[in-house]
Amino acid sequence: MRGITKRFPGVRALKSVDFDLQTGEVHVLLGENGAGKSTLIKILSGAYQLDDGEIFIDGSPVRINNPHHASALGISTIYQETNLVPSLSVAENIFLGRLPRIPFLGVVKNKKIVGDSKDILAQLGVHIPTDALVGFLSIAQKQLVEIAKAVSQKTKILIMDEPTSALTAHEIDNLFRLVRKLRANGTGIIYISHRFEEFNEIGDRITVMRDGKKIDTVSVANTSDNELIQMMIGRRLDEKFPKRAVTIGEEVLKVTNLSVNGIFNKINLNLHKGEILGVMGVVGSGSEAIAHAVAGGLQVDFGEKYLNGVKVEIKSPQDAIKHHIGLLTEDRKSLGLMLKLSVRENITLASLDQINRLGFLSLAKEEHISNQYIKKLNILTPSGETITENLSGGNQQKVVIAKWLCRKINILLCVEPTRGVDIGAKVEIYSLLNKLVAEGASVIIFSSDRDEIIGMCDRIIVIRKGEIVAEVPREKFSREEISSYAFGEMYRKQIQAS
Amino acid sequence: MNILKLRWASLGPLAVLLVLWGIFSIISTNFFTTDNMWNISRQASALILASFAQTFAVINKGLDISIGSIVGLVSVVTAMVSIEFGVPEGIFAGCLCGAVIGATNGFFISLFKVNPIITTIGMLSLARGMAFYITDGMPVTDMPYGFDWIGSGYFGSIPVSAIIAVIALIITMFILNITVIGRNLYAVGGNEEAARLAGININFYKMLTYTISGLLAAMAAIVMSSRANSGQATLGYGLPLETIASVVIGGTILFRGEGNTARTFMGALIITTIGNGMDLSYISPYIRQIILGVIVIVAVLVNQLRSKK
Amino acid sequence: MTHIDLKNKYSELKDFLGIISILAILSIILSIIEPRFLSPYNLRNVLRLSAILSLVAYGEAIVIIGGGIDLSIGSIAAVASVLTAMVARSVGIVPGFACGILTGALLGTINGVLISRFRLPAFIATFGMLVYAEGIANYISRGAPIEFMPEGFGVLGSGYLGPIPIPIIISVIVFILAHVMLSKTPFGRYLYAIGGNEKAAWLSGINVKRYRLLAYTISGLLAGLAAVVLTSRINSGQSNLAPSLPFDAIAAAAVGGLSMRGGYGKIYQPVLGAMIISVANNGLNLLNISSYIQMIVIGGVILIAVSWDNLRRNESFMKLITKIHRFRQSEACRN
Repeated sequence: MRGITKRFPGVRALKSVDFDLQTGEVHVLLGENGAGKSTLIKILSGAYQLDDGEIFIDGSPVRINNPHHASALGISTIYQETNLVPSLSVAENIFLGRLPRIPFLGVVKNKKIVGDSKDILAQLGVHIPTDALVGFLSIAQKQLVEIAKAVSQKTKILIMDEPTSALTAHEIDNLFRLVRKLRANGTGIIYISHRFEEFNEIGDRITVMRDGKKIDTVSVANTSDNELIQMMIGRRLDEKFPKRAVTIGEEVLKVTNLSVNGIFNKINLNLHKGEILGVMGVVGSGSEAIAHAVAGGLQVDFGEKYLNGVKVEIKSPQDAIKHHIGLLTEDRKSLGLMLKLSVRENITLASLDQINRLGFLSLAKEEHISNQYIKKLNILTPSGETITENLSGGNQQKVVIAKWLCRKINILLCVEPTRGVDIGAKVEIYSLLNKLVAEGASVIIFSSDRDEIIGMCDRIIVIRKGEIVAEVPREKFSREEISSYAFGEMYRKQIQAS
Repeated sequence: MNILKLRWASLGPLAVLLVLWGIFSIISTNFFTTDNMWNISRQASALILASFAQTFAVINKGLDISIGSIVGLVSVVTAMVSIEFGVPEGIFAGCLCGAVIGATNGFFISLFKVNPIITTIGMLSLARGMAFYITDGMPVTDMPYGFDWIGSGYFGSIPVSAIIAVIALIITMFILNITVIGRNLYAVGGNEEAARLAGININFYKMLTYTISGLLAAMAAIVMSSRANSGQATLGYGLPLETIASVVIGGTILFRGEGNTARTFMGALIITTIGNGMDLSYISPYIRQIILGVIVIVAVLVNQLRSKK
Repeated sequence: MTHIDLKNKYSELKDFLGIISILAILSIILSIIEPRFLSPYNLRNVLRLSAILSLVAYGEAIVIIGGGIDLSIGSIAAVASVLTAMVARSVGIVPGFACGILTGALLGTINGVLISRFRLPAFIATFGMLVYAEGIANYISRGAPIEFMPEGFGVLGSGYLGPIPIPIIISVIVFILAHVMLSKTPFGRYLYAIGGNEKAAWLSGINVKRYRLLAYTISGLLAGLAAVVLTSRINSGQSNLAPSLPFDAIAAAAVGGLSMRGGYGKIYQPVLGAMIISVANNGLNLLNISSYIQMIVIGGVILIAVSWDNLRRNESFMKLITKIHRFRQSEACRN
């Protein structure tokens, strides 16, 4: 059935893109960062204006002037940053801006919004009390509230932008169940994601974009992952994870009994020279917190840290740096970089006390050093003076790595090192990490990406709900087993059932 | 249950208030007399109204530093118009003046997107300057009969100003908790982007916030001027700090888009009690100022620590 | 350097020229309206006052670049003034000066500790300091100015080194020091980083607490220094030395183009801003306009300057301006 059709030929960052969405389908939008996916959906949601081309909804042409107009037309968007007001309740957020009122005094019809919200949440099978304040909800719950909000606005077209990157497996299941329900009800869903296993599970069709152009629209069932990757980057990528030779030396780092109340408990791990250790844990399992704790960014309640056998106190990032430990955070834009400063200034930021002459900064020295790293890491930037904001995600990540390399750290803790990085840059970053350990450093990768961990690490520790549930050396890697450890019993049962 | 926590008063400040009353009545026998209690309620009324003004700004995730200067200006305007035209006209003019200044603040904050703190700092200087200029620094006296009724008069045995304060409390709580406008004010303060995407007119609500703030400040000015039976450009000097203190001591955490006038009411009572108690104990006004400054710092600190948990 | 970087440098130059031209235009208009403005006596006066103002403006700028704000400099100056006078009278002139500067540094450090160690919002901490420092100044001096200073006390504020008034020399020295510190030392770079993105600076190993504290100490110290010079000039210690000082300082920074958001700024900005404000104040004085109007003007200046700064960064507004500009140009071409 041809339900809804949209066509946008010829927009500046988008070159003559055609796209259509049927009622009751999940249409995945796939592409590297910068391929144009966000631009496309922002036009649809009214945040951007198209320069050329047309949009048709249910066969009639429309102009979408602003986000409010878009939602009036039945288009709702759910972004990663939730658009809810933390100091208002669930019910109030669902009806934000559309609160039914008693005329004259403008009093809110509280019973009505509570009642309606309860109905919608029940329809969707979501169990969140309507008077809970949104500020106290988890990210997953907030997303569900946003979906409820969209449903209450009689959305025909739902756009979801990377909805699962902050969810646990259980929550993802919940979300998918909801998505399937909406699909059955006739809603058309545009789903943006980088996770292949997800859209294999829930998608009907996929449109691949590259460099602002639409490459092709194919059905999920008939297309293999490799074909999709080829469409995305324009070439075959057999080796997603570069191989390397492994020489592992003696223990360089050990933590015992590390605990932070409410987040993780009695974590013991050790790291050897030249080793890449993987800490696998889904979001919310505490793995990210462990990284921050080891690197001094998070205060621990118990636990000791040892470097090369000697006990050390690491209570702040400065302590960590003094001990040659660097932390690559999961959110480079807000935690890792000074976006408004130049590439050079970012690279040298952690090393200024070493790159000076008699206490004064030396521009020449800084330029020299930063240019070295720009070349070494193949950072694509017009020059060292370019403002970091203008670089792509992958290159920004390289700048952060350069910052730590410049400081000559021996132990690098990477949290989600390739999140939001396109495939081409991903491979470069993996090679970089390999080179690092080849030169004698050690790396711990904290990630929720199972393939990444399996592909890169010599040993894997699995974290679930703040505790170590398994430790697996390379010879014994198996995808299913690791996933079952990470996700727990339910997942295991699912595998056995299918 | 959660809403209760955020939208209505909490019991903490009430406990503090009772404890303070206990302490002061031990220190000075004059404290716990009926006379003094009515005294406190009269003294508190102006602060309560001004602190309500601050509350609205705090809900909008900002602060209004100009409240003191608005008070000075309105005091002078009200007095002068009262002399020329009569007391009701004076009150009207004063309220209008406060609303206009508040709207000007709102204008810069919403349309030109200036930081609310910097805007109100600028307005502080501007309004105070206007107040001094109009009166050449001299107080406006020879007020017509009836001018002092609001500030010093009684309705039966209850001070008029106390009644006004309570009415203001009821009206503002009504607006904030029950009406759509109130919800939208919280929305704009809590997450401006979300509110914008939901179609709420951000600029309108920001203007409204600071206009209401200016209006409430004007009411405080009228009460204070009436009490002093004169219009003074120097009125309200310590208000910015005192109103913030009231909001914070009432339990509100700043820059979060939260707050409500019931809590601020308690906070203002506590501050007034402390001031009254210190007066009765003959503490030098300079020391009093120092203590007040320290109290604010401590109160904010305590709030910060609480909010981390 | 690529064309993007050239564009950045070009816009920085444009800003600088813009501010200088405002100063020039203001001075020219003033000298036309009131020729007394150009008298050597008056010019020296203006320069002297703007030198003093620029001292606090530097302090304020340093704090703002680091992402904070300091509202207490007026009261810090008051305490410093009073203490300087008292110590100068009883112990000696030089100890008096030293005492004033140290007092400023001490009070600034208190601000810094509250803000960095106790995480108090900068605004609250400095506002609180404003209130109780004023109380302290009043208490110590019992509300009355402290007079009968020893011989030579006024040299610092009213004296000359050759043809140049001493305050100007002090200001120039501080300017050079501040410029070097901001652009050529790690401390300066760290300040920009902290002002730009505090969390990221922390995670990169920058000791945010220490540098923030230092910024406020410097601000307090400069306020103390300004107080010492001013006290010397009027030859008496006063607790209401310069009630509009924090406003003037913020206005100077804002007018000079310093971004209130932190993470940006050059040291020439507060200087030029201070000069503009001083010239404006001087003009109002010469024209016998009441000092109350000055307050109004300062307030208005802050509002307009910051609005303009914001609007400049706002894309849609700039597009509107360029559209109007182009429209007018094409109109002109047609005629």
